[in-house]
Amino acid sequence: MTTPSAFRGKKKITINKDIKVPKACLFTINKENHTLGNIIQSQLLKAPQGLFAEHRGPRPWQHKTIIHVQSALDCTPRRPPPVPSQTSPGSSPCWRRESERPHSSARTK
Amino acid sequence: MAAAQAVEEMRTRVVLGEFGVRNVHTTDFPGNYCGYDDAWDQDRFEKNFRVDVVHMDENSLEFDMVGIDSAIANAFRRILLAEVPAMAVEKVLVYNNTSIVQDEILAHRLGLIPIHADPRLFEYRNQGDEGGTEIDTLQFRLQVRCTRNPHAAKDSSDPNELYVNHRVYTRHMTWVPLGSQAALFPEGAIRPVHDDILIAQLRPGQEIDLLMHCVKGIGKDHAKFSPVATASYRLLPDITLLEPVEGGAGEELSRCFSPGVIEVQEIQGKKVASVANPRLDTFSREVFRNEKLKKVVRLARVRDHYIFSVESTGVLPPDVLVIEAIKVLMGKCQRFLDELDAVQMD
Repeated sequence: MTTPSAFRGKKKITINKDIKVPKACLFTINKENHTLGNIIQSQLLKAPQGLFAEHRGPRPWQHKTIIHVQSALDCTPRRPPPVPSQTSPGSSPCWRRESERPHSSARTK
Repeated sequence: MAAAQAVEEMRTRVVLGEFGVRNVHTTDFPGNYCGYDDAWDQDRFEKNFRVDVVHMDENSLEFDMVGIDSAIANAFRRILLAEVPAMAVEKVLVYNNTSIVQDEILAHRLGLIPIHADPRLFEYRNQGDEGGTEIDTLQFRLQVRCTRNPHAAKDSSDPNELYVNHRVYTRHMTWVPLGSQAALFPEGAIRPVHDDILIAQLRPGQEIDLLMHCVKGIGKDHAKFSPVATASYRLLPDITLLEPVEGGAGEELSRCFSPGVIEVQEIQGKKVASVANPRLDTFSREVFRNEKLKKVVRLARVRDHYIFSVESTGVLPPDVLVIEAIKVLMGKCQRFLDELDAVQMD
């Protein structure tokens, strides 16, 4: 039974550094699924330093979710520095076009 | 201006075209659109977010959540279905079952009966604990024996007349209080939600005599523990008329949508159609089958306006279920943050 008491003894989160890409990290969370993973992914994408964020459940029988985060500036993926709040619409960061994103996201319709 | 409108449509509307759906995914991330500040801002979120309760009765609730991302709305839906706990029959001790229904089928049916007991007052049963204590178990007894009715008419073929107790309903289940439960719960508080659920059918000489243990569980483990009949959401429809629609075409247009969506009014002698209440529409897309009218209408959905519909099985009122779901999500996030602080990076 997947009661909370059945879960004791296993580590909840494991953090691994991603060796292929700079400033990226893999968080493996045990016994969580898309409910939490999708929320964390969407919030990470909303952070201005977030370059890449995804959640995936590796195999359906493995009850864990992996959150893969890459951040842009000099901060560890674990604890980003506090963002200075930018409230005026004109000062939005368009740095994405200049940074090393693998694909362009700017729509030119 | 057209470009600005197109960008607004991309950001805020999911458009239902004739052959496909456009702009499904959220794209308003920081840096995607120049001139927009899309970074997460707590104040801006608090200003735009609202929850409106549209309709509530004892078992169903319809409410709107405006200003959140699809990930959070979906998380609430998933938690309502699978992670809000409820009580249900888990173990059935069968003393005597001479009915036509096999033991395991009977036990399966009993597990699916919704039990009217507040799961917040109980604990989860510890693994390996076979007996069950008063803090995690509810006991019910079901004892029914079918006999022939001696006063039945000679030529009757109606089972209701011929037999006594030939149908076993949930009203035959009696609660057996454990320990101090009798003092805590008043008479009639712990019972199946409905007393007219048919469990099994008997004939004279057949008997069912069993004891049931109810425990607390979540829907992820078994669907019997799900406290909602269903919980679902839809996006708010947004119907715009791209050109004025007059005369007979207006009547045709109103027939393409659910009743109440399109209203035809007499303005200066002419019949003019206008969108009255798009919320009622179920988007059957009937308008796309009409060659003239499909160019006149844009069917879309507002991307961040979620209309939730929660139907409770009767275990808890639906608004309490939504609050419990929010608490479950908060608990998950808090546990995640605590673990994040505890774990070292390797």
